[in-house]
Amino acid sequence: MSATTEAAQAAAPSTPAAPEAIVQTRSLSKTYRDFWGRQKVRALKPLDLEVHRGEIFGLLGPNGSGKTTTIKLLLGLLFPTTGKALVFGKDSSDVSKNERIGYLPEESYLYRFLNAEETLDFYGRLFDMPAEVRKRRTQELIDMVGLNWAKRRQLKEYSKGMTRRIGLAQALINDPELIVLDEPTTGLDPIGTREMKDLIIKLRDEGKTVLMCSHLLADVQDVCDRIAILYQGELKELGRVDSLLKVDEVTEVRARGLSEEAKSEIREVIQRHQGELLSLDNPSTTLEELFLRIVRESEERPGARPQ
Amino acid sequence: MVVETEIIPFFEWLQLAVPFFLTVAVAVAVFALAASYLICAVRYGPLAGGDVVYRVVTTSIKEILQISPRRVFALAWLAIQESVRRRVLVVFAVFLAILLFAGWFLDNSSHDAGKLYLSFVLTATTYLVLLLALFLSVFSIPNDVKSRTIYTIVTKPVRPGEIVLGRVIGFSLVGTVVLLVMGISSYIFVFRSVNHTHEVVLLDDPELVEELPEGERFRTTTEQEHRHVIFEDADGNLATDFRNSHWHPISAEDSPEGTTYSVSPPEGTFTARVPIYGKLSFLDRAGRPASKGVNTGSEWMYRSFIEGGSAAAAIWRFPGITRERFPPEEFPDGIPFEMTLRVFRTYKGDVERGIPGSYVIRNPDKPDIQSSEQIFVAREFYTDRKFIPFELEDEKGNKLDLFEDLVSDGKLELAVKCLDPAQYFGMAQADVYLKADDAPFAMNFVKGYLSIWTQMVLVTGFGVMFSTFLNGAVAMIATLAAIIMGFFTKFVTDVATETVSGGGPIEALIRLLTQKNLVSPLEDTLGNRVAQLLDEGVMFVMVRMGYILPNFRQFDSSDYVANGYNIPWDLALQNLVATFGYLAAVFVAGFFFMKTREVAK
Amino acid sequence: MRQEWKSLIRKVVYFVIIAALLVPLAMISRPATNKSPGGMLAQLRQQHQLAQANLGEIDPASETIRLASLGMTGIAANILWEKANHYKLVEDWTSFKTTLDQITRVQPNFAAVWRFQAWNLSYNVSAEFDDYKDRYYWVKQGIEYIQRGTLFNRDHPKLLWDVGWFICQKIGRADERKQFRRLFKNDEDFHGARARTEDFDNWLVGKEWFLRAQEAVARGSSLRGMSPLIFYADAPMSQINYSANLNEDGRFGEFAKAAWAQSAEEWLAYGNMNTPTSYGFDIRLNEREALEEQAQELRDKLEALAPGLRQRLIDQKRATLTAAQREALDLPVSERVGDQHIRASEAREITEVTHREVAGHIEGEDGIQALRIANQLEDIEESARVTQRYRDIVNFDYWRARCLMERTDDALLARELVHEGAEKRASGDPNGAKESYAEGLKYWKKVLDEFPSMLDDRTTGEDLSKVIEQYREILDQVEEPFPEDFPLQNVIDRYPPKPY
Repeated sequence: MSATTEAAQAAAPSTPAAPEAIVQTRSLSKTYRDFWGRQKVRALKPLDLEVHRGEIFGLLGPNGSGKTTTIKLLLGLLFPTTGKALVFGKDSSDVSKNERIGYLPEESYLYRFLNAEETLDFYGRLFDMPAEVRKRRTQELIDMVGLNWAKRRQLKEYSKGMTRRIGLAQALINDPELIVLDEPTTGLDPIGTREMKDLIIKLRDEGKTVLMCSHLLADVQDVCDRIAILYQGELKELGRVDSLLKVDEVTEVRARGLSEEAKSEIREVIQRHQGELLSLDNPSTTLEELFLRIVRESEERPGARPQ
Repeated sequence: MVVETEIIPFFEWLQLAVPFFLTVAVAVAVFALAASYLICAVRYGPLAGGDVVYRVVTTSIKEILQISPRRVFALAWLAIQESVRRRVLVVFAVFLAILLFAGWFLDNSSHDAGKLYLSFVLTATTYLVLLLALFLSVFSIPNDVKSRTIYTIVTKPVRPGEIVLGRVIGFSLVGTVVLLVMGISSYIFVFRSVNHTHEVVLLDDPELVEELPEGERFRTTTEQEHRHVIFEDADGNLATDFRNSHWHPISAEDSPEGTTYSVSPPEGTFTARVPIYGKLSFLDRAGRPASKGVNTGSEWMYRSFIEGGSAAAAIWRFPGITRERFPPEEFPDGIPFEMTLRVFRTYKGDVERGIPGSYVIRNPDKPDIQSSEQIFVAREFYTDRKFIPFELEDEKGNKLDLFEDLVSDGKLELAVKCLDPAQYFGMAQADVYLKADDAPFAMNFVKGYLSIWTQMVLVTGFGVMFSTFLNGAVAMIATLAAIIMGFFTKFVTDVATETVSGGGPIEALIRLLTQKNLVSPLEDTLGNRVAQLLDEGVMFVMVRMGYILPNFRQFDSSDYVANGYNIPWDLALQNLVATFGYLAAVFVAGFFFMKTREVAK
Repeated sequence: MRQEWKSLIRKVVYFVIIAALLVPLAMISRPATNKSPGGMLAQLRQQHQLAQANLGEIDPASETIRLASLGMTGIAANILWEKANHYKLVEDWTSFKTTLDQITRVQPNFAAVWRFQAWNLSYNVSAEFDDYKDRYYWVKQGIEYIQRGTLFNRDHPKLLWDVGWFICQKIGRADERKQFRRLFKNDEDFHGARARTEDFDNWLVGKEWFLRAQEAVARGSSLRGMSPLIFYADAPMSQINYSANLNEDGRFGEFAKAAWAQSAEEWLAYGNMNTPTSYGFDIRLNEREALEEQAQELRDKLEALAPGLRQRLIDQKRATLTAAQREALDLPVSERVGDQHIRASEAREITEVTHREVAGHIEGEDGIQALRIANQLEDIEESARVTQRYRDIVNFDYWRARCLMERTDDALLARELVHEGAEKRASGDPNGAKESYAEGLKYWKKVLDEFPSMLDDRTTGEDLSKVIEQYREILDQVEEPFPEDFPLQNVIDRYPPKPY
């Protein structure tokens, strides 16, 4: 956790005992039937779920587990077979709930013949935003996603990362309270992934709720507060990340500035208390950190790395 | 011009049309509600089903009321851009090609070149624009669904109605621009093709001059396979005769070398007459009122005939004759009227003479007060121009004033008789009319294009509606079927109501395969009976479809423009209102289809 | 940005090139029409006779429309026919004519289409109009229509013949023929030159077209089922009709004589032509008399070989008849009653003795010769019979006699005087009329004496009877009695005047 989070926590008013449920599903299920009414695929078995305000919620699962189906049911792109889905207390088929939602689909699905500015302007209109507001937001978002240099180019000329970014911009155009992300980091390079994760966290820090689904476990672990794990349409596990992943029996100590003497003393202490020393050496940083450091350094000092 | 169905004044029509529309709307709504309740009851159980239907209806009404113009126009603008990207401009290239090569197929030396060119240009434009509307409208929403760009739309607070409305408006705008460009280029094309001039030739061959009728000392050169005879009228102005539906004024300039004559461009080719139609009634040969005249053997019963040399007469009663409408200053010769009669001779008689007829002007309420008989010679297929003077005489020589003595409550009667016994005159209600001043042709041309516009809007509406629940190709076929039904409505309803022999579609197929003709009865086998039974079901649907789907021929006013008659505003307004009625229906249908559709399936 | 511009410029350049190419293309391939010789290609084609030899001109407009219908010319033609029928029903003549033009663009080489629709125009549409000038216009439309058909189907004898037929028959035999012929003669636009010369009489113009049809056949086109007997008769008949019409127009004298002389010449030339028959051999119409002579010679020879044999054989056969049959056979035709006709024909059949039969009864050397003669006889007799049959079809005898008769001075005078008489009567001079009529009838007597066979023909007889009636009326007018010993009484006897 960073300093910003603590500050945000301090600034926030006393959180109520029961956090507000922005998204609720009650026995929500979806079964695809074929033409004759027989069951074909049970995409989602009855699901009970809640997403609280201000948290980052992750839906995990392998391909075909029902996570994208859940998202589509919540957004009203599919109709539930049984059960209900409520967003902001309104039924998922109520279009007015979309005023406060931003949605980034897996493949962006934008109109390829428009350019970036036109795209954002168009979606702004769909929120009934007046012209000056639209203009301002468009420019803000384009700056935020760093596409200023390509804002007049048609979307069909964009790379995958650029389309993802403009998709994100479009999802944020209305300053939504709930942001739904479908596989946000899938297919991005490490830099893009890092930026996306930073952005998601920033959004949470601004007080927004983020619901994302992914099959990239590492990314989910880095970012989500609570997760739900789906497998073959059924909920298998639900809870806070930290508590789920906590390994109880093992204690981890991370310290800086330890001399060799200190290390041997610690070993003795552990032995004295009948503990089992599992490891006492330098931890690994992540490959991501290494990669980003190299990229950063290369941008500052171009040229071959000195041996 | 042939006017087979009378045009009702607009407000009268409105009083009939609105209740009818509402009745149909309510009937369809009730039917739809009942059907959907049934389906929901089967799916969810009776109470839950009712609840579902209730909720859907209330949310739908709310959503329709929440339609935001900004969103609609955003979607419309998107539709326009999509059309441009989809190379809608190709249609211009096709149209240009058609105009360029039209000259090979059109004969500007024909009897009525103006009519030919106008009707060609209007027909070509109609077909092109309707095809354009078809292709634009049916693929848009299915493409969105296929490429999933609709996800980013539907997850915004966009009402389903806005999606439908936005596209209809967008494509209609594109069609309007296309129509505008085509209209302007057609106008120029037609004028340029028909325009021509002649030179004046002085006839100096005595032998030739000897045989010509008096006064014909000059004639024009031959252009476009016709030439004119030149006359001098009472004021001393030179003009050509009326040939091939036009005439030219001629101006003479005196100069030291002699008089030079220049022939001006043709006049009378492009007109927009404003006819005042009356109600036609007949008297039979004994002078008793009859519902229609005699049929002299024509298969087409639009016209009927009166017998000559008897008391048979055809009487037109004209409304709205007032001094304000026809001020004597503007109509110095009287109220002009035009008459086109058919002639049927039971014996040829003297072929060099036409059949004489007579007409009188009468007071509708006091038929004894009538003008003296005005004799004329009938010229079949020509439109004769005559006048009703403001001051007339009756048989005894007493003076009659038109407005005082003959017009009663704004109405006036004109009775036509044939004078030659055993010969007949034929007429229909629209054959004799009073002529108020001509309307400007350009305005009429625009009104003609307005009628094409309404057809285009209809096609767009239907196309978008079908595309909300069918995929692109199937929607195209459905819309095409609606268009074809629209153009052949009469034929389809005739087949369905068995006015035309040959049975329904399945029976017709059987006849085709077994090579039977239309009137011979089918053999009484089980298969044939089953087929006929099925046909009854199909024809039932066909008749309903025929009445519900728009009859494009009614919306098409190009006949008026080509024949040189003003399109009455009554008709134009009726078509406009009907179009918007259809659009409303199509919008509601599209709204529900869009709403109940799972876009992410 | 620059990329966009470049691609846009390229597109514009292509478009300009294409448009620029379209202009010379349109100029070069403009089709030839009645009005203009067309673009370069059409003119070259005409010059070098490069059009398809057995068809005619190829019209690019026609090719275009056929291409545009994507091979579904049948359906396109169907739709156009339906439309044409509709326009005809609602009397929209402009659209009707235009649609007909489109039909022939879609199917230019289908001769039946040209013929049918030309007929439609000239005969059906023209009859719808009341004013004779309008009727003439539409007759002309039909004629021009079929003329256009001959452009696209060169050397098609039926189409060429049709042009001739329309011009001759429709204009020359209509009720309005006087007016039509006058309009036709003066129709500058149709003939393309100052028309007031004799050459533009409709019969003569039509004859030209018949001759062109004949030339086409001579060049190798097939008659396509038209009977050669009638086909070759039309050109000389036009000449005859022309000459007869001169009388109606009131032109006599040397001019008419020359016309009739030419008629006689052409008719006789027609009679001398080899006409194929459906019996497998050719005949010549003129030859019947010669054949008869030959036959008679041979019959005499056969009789000489066995005199009386034939009669004996006939008597033998008669003996086998029943009484009823013999009775029926002996009765003259007009007195036979009921089934006596059948009896008589049975009897005739039984008593028939063929030449071969006769020859068969002769023995020896004579017998062989007799057989040879008999065979020859039978062939010649059949030829003569067929020739007579064919003559009857075209009324050859009558026209031959008529041509020869009309070209005599007597006949010309007779007609001229009667015509004068009618004119005088119409202008109120009954006495003068009476004298002219009397003179004219005198000449008629002379003519009939010279050509008694003329009286056998109904037309001449009835016409003459009418003339005599008119004479009687004039006599009534001047209150003179009808002469008792009227020289042409036999005419009245044979062709009594009709009551109306």
